[in-house]
Amino acid sequence: MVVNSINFLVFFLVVFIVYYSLFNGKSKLQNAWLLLASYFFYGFADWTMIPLLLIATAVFYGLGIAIGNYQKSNEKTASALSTLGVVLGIGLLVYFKYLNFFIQSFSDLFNAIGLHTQWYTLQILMPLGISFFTFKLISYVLEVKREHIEPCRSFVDFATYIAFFPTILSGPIDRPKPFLAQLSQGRTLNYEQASEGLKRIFWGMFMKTCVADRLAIYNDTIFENVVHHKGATVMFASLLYPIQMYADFAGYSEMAIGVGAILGIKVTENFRRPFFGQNVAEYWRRWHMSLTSWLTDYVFMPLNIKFRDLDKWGSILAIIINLVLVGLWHGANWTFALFGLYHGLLFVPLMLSGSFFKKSKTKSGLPAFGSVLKMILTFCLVSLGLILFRSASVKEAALVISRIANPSHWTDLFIDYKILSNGLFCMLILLWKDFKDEFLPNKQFLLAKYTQRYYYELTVSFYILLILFFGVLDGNQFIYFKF
Amino acid sequence: MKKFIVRLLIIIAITFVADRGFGYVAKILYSRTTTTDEYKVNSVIYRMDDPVVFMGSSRAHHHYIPSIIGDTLQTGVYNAGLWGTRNTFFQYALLCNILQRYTPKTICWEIHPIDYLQTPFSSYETVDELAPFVNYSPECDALLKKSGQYYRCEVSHLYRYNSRFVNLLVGLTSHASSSNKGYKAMSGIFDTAHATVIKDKFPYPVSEEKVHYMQLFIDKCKEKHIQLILLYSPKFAVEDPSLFNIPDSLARKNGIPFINHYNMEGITGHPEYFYDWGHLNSNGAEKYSPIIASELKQYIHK
Repeated sequence: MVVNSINFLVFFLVVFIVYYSLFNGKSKLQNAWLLLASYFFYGFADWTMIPLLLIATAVFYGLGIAIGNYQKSNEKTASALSTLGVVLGIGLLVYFKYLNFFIQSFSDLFNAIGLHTQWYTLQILMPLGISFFTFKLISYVLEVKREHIEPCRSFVDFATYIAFFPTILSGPIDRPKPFLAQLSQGRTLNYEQASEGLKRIFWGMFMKTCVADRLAIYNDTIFENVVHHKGATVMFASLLYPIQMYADFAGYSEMAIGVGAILGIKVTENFRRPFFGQNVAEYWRRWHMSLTSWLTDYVFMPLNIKFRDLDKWGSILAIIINLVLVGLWHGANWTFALFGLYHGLLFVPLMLSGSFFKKSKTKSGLPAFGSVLKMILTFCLVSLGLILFRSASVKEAALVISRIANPSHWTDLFIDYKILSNGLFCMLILLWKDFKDEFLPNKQFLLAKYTQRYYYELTVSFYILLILFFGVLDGNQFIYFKF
Repeated sequence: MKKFIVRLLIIIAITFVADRGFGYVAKILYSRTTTTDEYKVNSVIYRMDDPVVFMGSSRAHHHYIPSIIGDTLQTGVYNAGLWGTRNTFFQYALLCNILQRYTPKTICWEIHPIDYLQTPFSSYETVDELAPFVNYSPECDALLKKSGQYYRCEVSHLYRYNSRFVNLLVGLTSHASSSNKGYKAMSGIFDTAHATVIKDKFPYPVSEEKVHYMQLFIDKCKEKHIQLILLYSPKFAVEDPSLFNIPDSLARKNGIPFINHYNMEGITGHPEYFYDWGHLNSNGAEKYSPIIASELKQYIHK
C-alpha cells in the first residue's frame, strides 16, 4: 500500500475516525489500535514477514526489561544483554540483507586469488523496512543500557513504537525516548498540529508525484541506456538525480511526519533543505538526519573515543567508518560501500582544516556569493557520489563517469521537453519553497499578505491542484522502500 | 475536531471550485494549442474531414505524405498517425472518437507489432492521451476505465490535462501548419557508422487482448462501411516474416487487404532514406508515398 494511494487514504481515514471517535484520549486503546493498524499496513505490504517482526519485537521487549532489571544489581549481565541485543539486531540485518553479499564477495575474492571454491548463495527474502525497524530495536536496548530511558513495560506501546505504520517502511528512524513518551499519554486532536500535518502530507505528495516521479521518467530513460546517450546528457541526468532522490525520500518523510502529526505523534525530522549545505559535513547534517544522528550516537562517538589517541586522524578514521556504514546501510553492494567511502574521503580536508567543526552562521537574508559557490560545489560533489548510489555495479558507475568525463561526448544534450518540462517546473517550485524557508522564512509574499484568513486553506488547495495537474499518480514505489 | 473538519471542508470546497475553474481554462487552452500531440488529436477528432485517413503510430506519422498520396488517389487524405507507442487500444479509442463526428470512406492502418504483442510500456496506458475526451465516446471511456484514468478524470477536470501544462503554454505561442495534413517530416540521415543497427526483434508473446481489440477495430469499420486496409511500411533492417502471422491471419479472416512492405527493394537497407532504423526520413517518405499511393489506388477504386 503506497502512502500516496487511494488505498492508503481509505485505510488512514478508518484509522483516524476510530482513533479519535471511539478511543479519543485513551492512550492504551489508541496504542492498541495503532498497533493493529500498523501490523495490517505491514502485512498488506508483506504478510509473510509479520511473524519475524513480532518475534523480534518480543525478544527486544524482553531484553529491555531484563537489562532494566539487572542494571542496578548486576551490571555485567546488563551489559551482556545489551551486547546480545546489538548482536541480534545486527544479525538480523546481516542474515536478511548482507549474507549473500558476503558469500558472493568471499567467493569472488577466493576465485581471484586462484582458490576455486563452491559457495552457494541462499534464497533469502528481505523483509520490508528491516533497515529501519532493526535500528529502532538496537537503539532501544542501548538507550535502556545507558539509562537514558526506563524499559518499556507495555508490550503494546513498545510494539507500536517499532511498527508505527507511517515510518516502518521508509523511516524516519524515531528514537525510543521521545516516541515512547508520547505513547504514554492519551491524544486528542490538536487543531494546529493536525493542520500542519495535513499540509505536510500534501507537500510530501507533491514532492513525490510531481518532482521525483516526473524526473524519474527522464533519469530512468538515460541511466538505463547510458551507452546510447552522450556525455552532456548523462551529466545532466546525474545532476537531476540528487533532486529526484531528495524529492522522493524527503517527500515520503514529509508524509510520514504529517500522518504522525494528525495522529498526535511527533515523528522526528529527516531532512532540512540539504542542498543549501555549504560543505559535505553540512550536507550530512541536513540529509537523512534520523539515520546520520543514529550512527553518530551509536557508531561515530564510540569510535571517536576509541581512536582518540590518534588525534585528528582518529576522528577521520571514525568518520570514514561511519560513512561506509551509512553507504552499506542502503544496500548490500560494493557501490554503496564506495559511496560511503567517497563521502568519508570528502570529510578529510574538512577535518584537517577544522571546517568540519564549524557550523555556518545562520543569517537571515540572501546568501553571499561565496556561499552560493560553496553550495554549488557541494551539490556537484554529492551528485558525483550519487552516481555510485544509482548504479547497479561499480562497472556501471565507471561507465557513467567515463561518459561524463569524455569530452568527445559533450555535445547534443538530449532533452525531451515533453517528458522533462513538467518535472523541471515542479522542481523549481520545490527549490523555491526550500529557498524561501531557508533564507526568507519570515517574508510574506503577495498571496500571503492578501489572503491571511484563508492562507492555510489556499496553500493546501494549491498543493492538491499541483498534484492533479502535474503528479504521476500511477507512480513508482518510493526509492527507500528497498532499503 | 469540529474545527478541523470545517477546515477540511473549506479546503475541499476551494479545491473543487479551483479544479473546475482551472479545468475549464485548460480545456480552452487544449482546444487552441498548436503543439504536436495535442494539436493533432484535436484536429483528428474535431476538424479532420477527409475521405481517406492514415492511422497508426510514429511510423504512420512520418511515412505517409497526404499531398502526394491525395494527388494520386484524387481525393482528400489526412495523416492521423501520432508519435509514440500508439497501440491497438489507442487506435480503437481514437477511431470511436472520430466516428462520433464523421465517417471516413477509407482507413489505412499502419500496424506494428505493438498492436498485437505483449510489448513493454504498451498496454492500456497509451489511451491516457485521450483523457481530455472523457465522456466523448463510450468505447473510449471503457478503455480509459481499463487504464485507470476514467474516474480520476470524472472527479477532477484539471486531471484530464495532467502533465500538459508546458505543452499548453508552448502551444499558445507557436503556429501549427495545417498544410501538411498531419504528416511530419523527419530530417536527418540514419548514421549507420555510429548507431547500433539491430534487426528488429520482438520476443514477446501474442496479446489476446490486443488481437481482440484489432478485431473490434475491424468490426467497427465494417459496421460503418469503412474500407479498411492494413499497411506495414519499410524498415531499415529485414524482419522475421513470422512477425506478421497475426495481421496476415486477421486480414485473411476478414477479407481485408494487408500491404506489407517491410522489406522493400530500393528502400530497406538504404540509410539515406531513414532517420533511424524504424523511421523513414523526409527523403524516404517522399520516395515511398507515391509507391504506396499507386498500390492503394488499386484497392480504393475497386
